[in-house]
Amino acid sequence: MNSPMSHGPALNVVGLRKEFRVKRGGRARTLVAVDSVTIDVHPGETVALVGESGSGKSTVARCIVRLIDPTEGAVAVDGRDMVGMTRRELSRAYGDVQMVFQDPNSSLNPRMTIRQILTEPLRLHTDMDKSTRIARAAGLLSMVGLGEEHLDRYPAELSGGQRQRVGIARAIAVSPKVLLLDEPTASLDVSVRGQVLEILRQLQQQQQLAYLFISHDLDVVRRISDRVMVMYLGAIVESGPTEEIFSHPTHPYTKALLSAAPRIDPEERRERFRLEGEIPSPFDVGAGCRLDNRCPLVQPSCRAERPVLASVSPTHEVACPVVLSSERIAQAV
Amino acid sequence: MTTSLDPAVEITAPKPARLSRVAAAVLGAIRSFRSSSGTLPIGLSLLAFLVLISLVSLIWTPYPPTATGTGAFSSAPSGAHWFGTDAVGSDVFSRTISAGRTDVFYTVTAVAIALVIGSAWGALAGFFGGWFETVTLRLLEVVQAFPALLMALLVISILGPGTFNVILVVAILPLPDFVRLARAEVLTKKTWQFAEAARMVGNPPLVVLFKHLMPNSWRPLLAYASISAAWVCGNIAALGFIGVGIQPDAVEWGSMIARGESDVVAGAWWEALFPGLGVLVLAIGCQLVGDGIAARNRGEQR
Amino acid sequence: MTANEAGNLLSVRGYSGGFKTPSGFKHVLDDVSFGLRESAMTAIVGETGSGKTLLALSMMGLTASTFVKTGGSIEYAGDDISTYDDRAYRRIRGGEFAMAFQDARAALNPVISVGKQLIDACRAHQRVSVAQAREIAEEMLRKVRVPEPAQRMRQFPHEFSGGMAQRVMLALALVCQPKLLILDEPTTGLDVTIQADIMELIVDLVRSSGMTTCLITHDLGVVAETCDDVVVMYRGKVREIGPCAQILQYPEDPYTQQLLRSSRFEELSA
Repeated sequence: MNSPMSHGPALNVVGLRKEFRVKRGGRARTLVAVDSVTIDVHPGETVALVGESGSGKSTVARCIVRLIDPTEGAVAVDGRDMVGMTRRELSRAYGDVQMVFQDPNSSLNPRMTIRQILTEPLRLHTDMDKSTRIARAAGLLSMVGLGEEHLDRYPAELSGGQRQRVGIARAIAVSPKVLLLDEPTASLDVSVRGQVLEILRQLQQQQQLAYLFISHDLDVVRRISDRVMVMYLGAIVESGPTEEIFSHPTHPYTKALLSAAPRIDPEERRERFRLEGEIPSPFDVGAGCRLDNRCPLVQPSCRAERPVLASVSPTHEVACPVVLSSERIAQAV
Repeated sequence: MTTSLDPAVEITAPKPARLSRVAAAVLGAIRSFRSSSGTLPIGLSLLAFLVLISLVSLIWTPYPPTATGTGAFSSAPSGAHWFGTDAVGSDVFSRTISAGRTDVFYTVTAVAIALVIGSAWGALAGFFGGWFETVTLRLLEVVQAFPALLMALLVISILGPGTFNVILVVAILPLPDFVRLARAEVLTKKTWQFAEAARMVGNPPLVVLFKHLMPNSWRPLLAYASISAAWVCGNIAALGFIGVGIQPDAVEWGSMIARGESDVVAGAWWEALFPGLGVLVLAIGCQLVGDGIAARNRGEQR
Repeated sequence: MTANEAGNLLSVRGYSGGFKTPSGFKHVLDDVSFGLRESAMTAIVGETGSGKTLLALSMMGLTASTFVKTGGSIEYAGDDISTYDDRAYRRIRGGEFAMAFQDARAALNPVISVGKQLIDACRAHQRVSVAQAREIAEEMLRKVRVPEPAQRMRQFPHEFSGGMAQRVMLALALVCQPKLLILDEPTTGLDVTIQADIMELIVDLVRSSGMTTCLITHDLGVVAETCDDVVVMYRGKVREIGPCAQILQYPEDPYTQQLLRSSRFEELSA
């Protein structure tokens, strides 16, 4: 069992930046997929990274576990720096941070049995003997609500929800402190989604896990996260406690996002805050605010200088000087 | 947590106790053999037939294959000599079935070498990319730019004759295709999430490549191996026919065709026909098996 | 649970069918009955395995050759179109019936320019010249709010973003002014803000033209905001039919109730 809450954050990301060199039309151009992202997640806490395509949220996750190497920035898991590690140290570090993948159909090796899938991390990270490993695999399955009979089955014999649960079991097999969840319920039917979220919540409570929850599904985010960070074209544009963000979205993009989501119950519907056009190509991001070609509140100053995150309240930050000044006026009144 | 309407509970059916994996695989193979139509059973039957008679020739032939003067020279098929005799009086039937051993052995070995080495090379190139991949691709292009037989002649003249050299040369010809195929497979599957997951679990990259990625690609590689075997056996026979690498009097179909070639004009059709049929049956058998496997791969992907 | 008789453009009655597989016959649709009210937007909702896409394909006559109807009928304009062969279907498909598929960029022909695809579709069902068809196509692109339509006509599907490609898909479906428009998960896979734009567009187009529309989806939020009627399906059977407002707020069928509970996260502990 993990020791009770340690002091610092379980996951600490500072100034994360990822650039890709891409050949576009004959020339080599730089694509900034992630720009200056800072995130803290404490044990037992869930922080959600929300954004649409091109926001860079999946890239952030992969940089944290170094499936991709970041261009700049510091990543520390349980106090240990990840960016400077050698490959061997990294393999050991995977005992502290794990990832749950989006697509249950392709994240399990179709040729391995569930037992093999679950015992593999145990074999690589612990010195348990074979029978202990198998026993632990059975224990993991029961932690995610699946019976022992599934051990000898292949992924193809399980339903989507069951496969996703195996993915979660695999991720917690080595008792990590931090879990990165990349759209874990996106491919699941709505009736199965609740079960998976419930399992995640229980595991988090039992083991004080820190979750970084990446999603584009705002309903899920509202339900499961403590804090939300909204990303657009590689940068965090707003960050704060979940309820605060949902009840007082401040950044124009956040407002657009929340108002666009269709709601079953009429009383939950918001008036549509419109952005013009579509998400531009990440190559075309100018020097100013990323939203400058779409935002209804755009000012000349927006195009000149890139906004940084500034506080609306002690826990709530927004990267939009236009909105910030009107908020401050409203608060002063 | 589970209600009666929970799809997760309803969709998976209970499985019977499992047989050992090998037994299950064999039963599955037999079942699919019987249920599949068209090319696969025919191809497998042809190959099985060839292998059978080749094995028979190990223990028995009507006459020693290399013996000369067993009968009249260039006599037509008869009761004593089922396929007739050739210009030096050897029994064509005995030679044909014995040659089957040679040709089949060469073919299988060459394809196996090309498959193993080609796949490993291609997998590494696709997985790691960078300069290794670029150099590999350029090298392949050079090799493939040569007409196949010309290349074979070139290499044999450098290496000299001999069983192993012939097999090596004939393996080099289809090698580039295996490299490309394996590379393509790896490139596709590299982005599948289970490859990332295998890394997250803590496997070093090479283990991810060979233990996780490649085993999922064996089907297309096997299909291609079978199809290229058809081509390879043709090349072997061609080398035997030209008399390069394989001795002109070797008990090998190509050499036999060469020996019987001049007599065909004289009307002795049997001397070249039967070894020719041998090559044909082997090639067709391999091709059909490869087609059948490819068709099943396509079917399963749907 | 029976559908309205009068005022239906298309009625499905007791429709059943399944697939022939090596291990036997697999029933996929079981006694499905509902009606598509004229000029209304009807949603067919269900999760994976509910059979909703197959139902849409059946209505369009686009089912795979391994699909076999085992009973029932689909009535349109006084005929049972489920008995039509492909030739008969081709007369109504495209012209009177149109379908927009889920992944627009995959559904469009990648090697033919968007303009040509629209022109071909137009001329397949109307007697117009190429020049006239081109005008119609351009107008259609304008209607689906694709900026700079004249230029975009010359582009290929891969040059369009997901949302733009979906608009092209809609244009393609609407170019011959069909009576029935079937949309199969038109916004799945698109970003939230684009989804909202596309749905708004669809509602505008549909209301202004009085088309009968059938929306296949699993997203109850979209259904609640745009549709008039809803058909709830589970494992090949119809569980509940009725007006949206009523079903979504006061469901009677246990499956529908659970579906709504899950969608509202009510089954999670607070």
